[in-house]
Amino acid sequence: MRSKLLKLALILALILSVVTVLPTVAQEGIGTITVGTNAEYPPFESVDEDGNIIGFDIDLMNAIAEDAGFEVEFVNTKWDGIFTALSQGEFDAVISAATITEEREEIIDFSDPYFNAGQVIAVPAAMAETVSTVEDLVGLRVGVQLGTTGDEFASELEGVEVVRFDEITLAFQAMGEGELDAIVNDGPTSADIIANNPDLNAVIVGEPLTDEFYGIAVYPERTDVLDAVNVSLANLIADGTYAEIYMEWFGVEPSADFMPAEAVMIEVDPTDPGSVIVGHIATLLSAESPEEILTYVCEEPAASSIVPTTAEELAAFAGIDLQDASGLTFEVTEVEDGVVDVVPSGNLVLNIGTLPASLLLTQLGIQSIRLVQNDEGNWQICPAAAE
Amino acid sequence: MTDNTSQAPEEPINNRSARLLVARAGALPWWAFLLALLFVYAFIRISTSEEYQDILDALIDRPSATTSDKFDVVYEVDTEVQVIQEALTLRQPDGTRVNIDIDDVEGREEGRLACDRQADPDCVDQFGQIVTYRVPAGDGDTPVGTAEKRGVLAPEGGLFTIVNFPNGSSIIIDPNNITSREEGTLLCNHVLQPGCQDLTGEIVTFELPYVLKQGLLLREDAVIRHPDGYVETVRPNRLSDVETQECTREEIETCFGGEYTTAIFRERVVGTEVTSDGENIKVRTVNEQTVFIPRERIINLESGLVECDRNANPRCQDFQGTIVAREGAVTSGELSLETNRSVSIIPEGQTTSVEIPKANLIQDEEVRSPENCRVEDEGACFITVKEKDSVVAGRIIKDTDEGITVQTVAPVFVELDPDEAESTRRAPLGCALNNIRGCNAGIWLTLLVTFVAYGLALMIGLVVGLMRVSSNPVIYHLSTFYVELIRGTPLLVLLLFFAFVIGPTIRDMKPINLGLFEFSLSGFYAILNDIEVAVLGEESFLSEAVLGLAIGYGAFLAEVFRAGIQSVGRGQMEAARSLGMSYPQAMRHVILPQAIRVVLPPLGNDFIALLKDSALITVLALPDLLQLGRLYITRTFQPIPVYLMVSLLYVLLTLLLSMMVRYIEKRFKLP
Repeated sequence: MRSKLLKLALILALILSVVTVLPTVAQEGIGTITVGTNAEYPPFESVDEDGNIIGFDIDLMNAIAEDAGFEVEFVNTKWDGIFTALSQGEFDAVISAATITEEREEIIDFSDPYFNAGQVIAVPAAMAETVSTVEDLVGLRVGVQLGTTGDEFASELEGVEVVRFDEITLAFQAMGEGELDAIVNDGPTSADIIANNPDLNAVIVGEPLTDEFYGIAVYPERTDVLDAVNVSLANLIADGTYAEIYMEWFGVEPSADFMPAEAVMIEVDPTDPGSVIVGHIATLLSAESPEEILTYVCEEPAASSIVPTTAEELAAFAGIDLQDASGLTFEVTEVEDGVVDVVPSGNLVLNIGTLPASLLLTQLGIQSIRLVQNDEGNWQICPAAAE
Repeated sequence: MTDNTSQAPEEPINNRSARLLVARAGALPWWAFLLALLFVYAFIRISTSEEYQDILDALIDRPSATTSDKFDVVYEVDTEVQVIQEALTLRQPDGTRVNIDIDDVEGREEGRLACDRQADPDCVDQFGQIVTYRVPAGDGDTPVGTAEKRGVLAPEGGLFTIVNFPNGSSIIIDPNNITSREEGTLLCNHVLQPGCQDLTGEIVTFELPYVLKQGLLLREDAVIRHPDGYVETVRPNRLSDVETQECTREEIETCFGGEYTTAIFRERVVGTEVTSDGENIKVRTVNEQTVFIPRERIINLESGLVECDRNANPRCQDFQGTIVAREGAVTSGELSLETNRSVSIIPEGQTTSVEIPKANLIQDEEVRSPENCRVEDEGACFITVKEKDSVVAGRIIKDTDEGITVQTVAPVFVELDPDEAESTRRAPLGCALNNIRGCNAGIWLTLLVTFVAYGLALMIGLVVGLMRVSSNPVIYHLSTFYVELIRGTPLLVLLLFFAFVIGPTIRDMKPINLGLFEFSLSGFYAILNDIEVAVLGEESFLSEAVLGLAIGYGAFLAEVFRAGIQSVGRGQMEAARSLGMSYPQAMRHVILPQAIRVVLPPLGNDFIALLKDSALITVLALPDLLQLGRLYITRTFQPIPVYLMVSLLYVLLTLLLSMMVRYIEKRFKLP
């Protein structure tokens, strides 16, 4: 009797201690979240020989977590119930090369896009000649993964037999055995599977069929996680960490949307003759009024005055943009102190075609462009007449 | 327990059966009534709920009495067309794409395109068809040749000499390269760009210095024109017998550049094959689209020219029809998604949402309750929206008191000569009593696979079971090996093995020559494929799945048969043999008939187990009951009602089958 009472008292004490301890471990911030993923989709997520989940998505999520200050626990799960499970709170988030679609948005929240893949068609090498567009799929057996956007895309095609597999790797196997004629699936994953399995003898043909923006799916009740993910994702893109992770898994730089923003403008450095020339040509070609041109023309214009100074001459330049002046090189010769002659060569890319710089000079009737340095040290253009 | 009805006095039949019924009912446990009530409730809920009807439709293709939509087909027919233009899309070494005309192609060959290592040191060389093409030379390039081109001088070139081409493009040239000038008109491509402007002015012929560049062929397109005027873009490998002739200026509508090119195009006819009354094959390529407008929403009706829907039918012609102005619809329900462009509302009584573009809504008529609620708010946000008045144009095909039905897209039928058309796909569509082959998915596939696999398993089981009781050591050990091996392999693994290992191996095996006849397993595989096509209309993993299940269960059934045979007393066999019967005769006439009684219950058990294990075939991408359920969930994200329905259907099937098995058992019972 006494030992029983003692046992009871001990148990009670244990329970009480645990219960009182719990509230003091205050959850500040997000803490640890569970993230579901279908680790059969290289290079985004897959399981390596030691059983670890690895991939681009994994690295990205870990980087986001590090930036935002929470911990991540990955759970490998089947694909076709993953959104339903997320909407019921089985996970806090899902990162699994999931395309942002409106149907999915109805039950869960997506972060900002973190990748732009596109559905592609993969075929056995022997069929690469005859199949390269969506229209060529008519009459063929096309494999897809059940419940993906590839599945939806293929199901809407007419005259196509859609064969739905649980995992896309099974579909590639089937195609390797000759049971399928083609596969419609996300580009990066198909490329990875094909590259790692040369005996499949498969190739990707044609161009991406769709835009597929991947997003991180978040349980709608965890708005704190969603906000943290969006903020951190933007940070990673801006500071170049995203580009690093991308380079590691894909070997190339990501597209401009995911690179740190760079201003792409023609910057004119008034102390550099070459830069002045480029700026001048750009202005010449896109000027809307004579006044803009005249600010670059020096006080004593040359006798031939080829530089457009009238509205009629300017109308000749209407609709012509300078797209790329990076192909230009300049040969600068000093005529005297503060006066140089510049001969440009190379090609200007305009929207109506390529304009060789030599042709530009010929059309302007000049051999070189003369620059004169003013009192402030800035160069101004005076056209030098043809000899 | 003895049956005491034989001792009861004679009673009128109906009284006796009534009493039997009551006795039987009384003997049932209390939870049987609960179960029955549950089923009745479920039945009523399902037959009245639209949501569950929807799910049922997805899982079971309910057979209609007849259907005229027989097959989902793709036919190929040769037709004569005019070739207008051919263009290629290439990928350059720096990764960008470029379109070039086939006239600018200098040559092509299979090979490797070295990428631009200076621009991108990590780039990867590409393999494929490399196309060498001509590009106007720029500054600093050494031209490898000049090509003669013609265009019209742009009068507003100003400082630059700009030449316009009839296809709308322009180029800046060095005026020193002009070789001739004349006044005139260059015809634009009226076929490709109807209504384009011919260029009149100073036609200059000039030498364009070019350099050669290389790119990887991504796709090749040819623009063709059908005899009915329809223009489309196709792959050049579907054209053959290409011929070019000179044409005269009078044929300006169909001719340009002085040439007229024809070819034979392998056209694809894609659609639904319908029953036809003649010898020709009749295919419906464009489905009818109709809109029903309730009478109270009709604002105005007038005849007019209807612009046909080119998205639904690119070859349609505008026609005289009716233009109906209708009042906008009112939709009311729970708001499920709101974006900048649209709202998604789940209407009352339905489970799927409808998406309505905000541009179609009348802002002032929007009512939300609670006021100004949004999707993210706690609790549901209900919304009522009214769409703007809209116009429906087409032909009125039905006019009743309730409203009118307007046909916005007319169906298009194509008749094909069976001798000329080649079919590349002919899959049965639509389950119907006159199109049984169309009942090939969902519950029908589950039943088909179960019955066929079980039939085969019975045969295998009987044979192997007999082998297992044989005294011949070879036969005995062979059968034991089979049983132990297969029983030890999970059914899922067996199915995958059949599909991905055994299937391809057999298909690629060379026929074995055994002297008098050739033993060809690959021929057997081909026969299996033919059966698949005959039954389902297309090739699939069906035969591998059925064989896998049959062989898997054959091992278990073999043991059941063995137990049954061995349960019959040894004395029976001895007596039969002593009567002069041979071993097979004894088996057939004495042992087996007695073994059946013992064997039936476990056989029935395994039959039901096979029905449930048939769900495994979903891993081989076969559209059975389970896979259709999962597919439905991925589209609608409603797992609870769907899985409830799937489970219910499996339970119903097993109940039916077990009733059938019990009936058979009764037939074989000893008196």
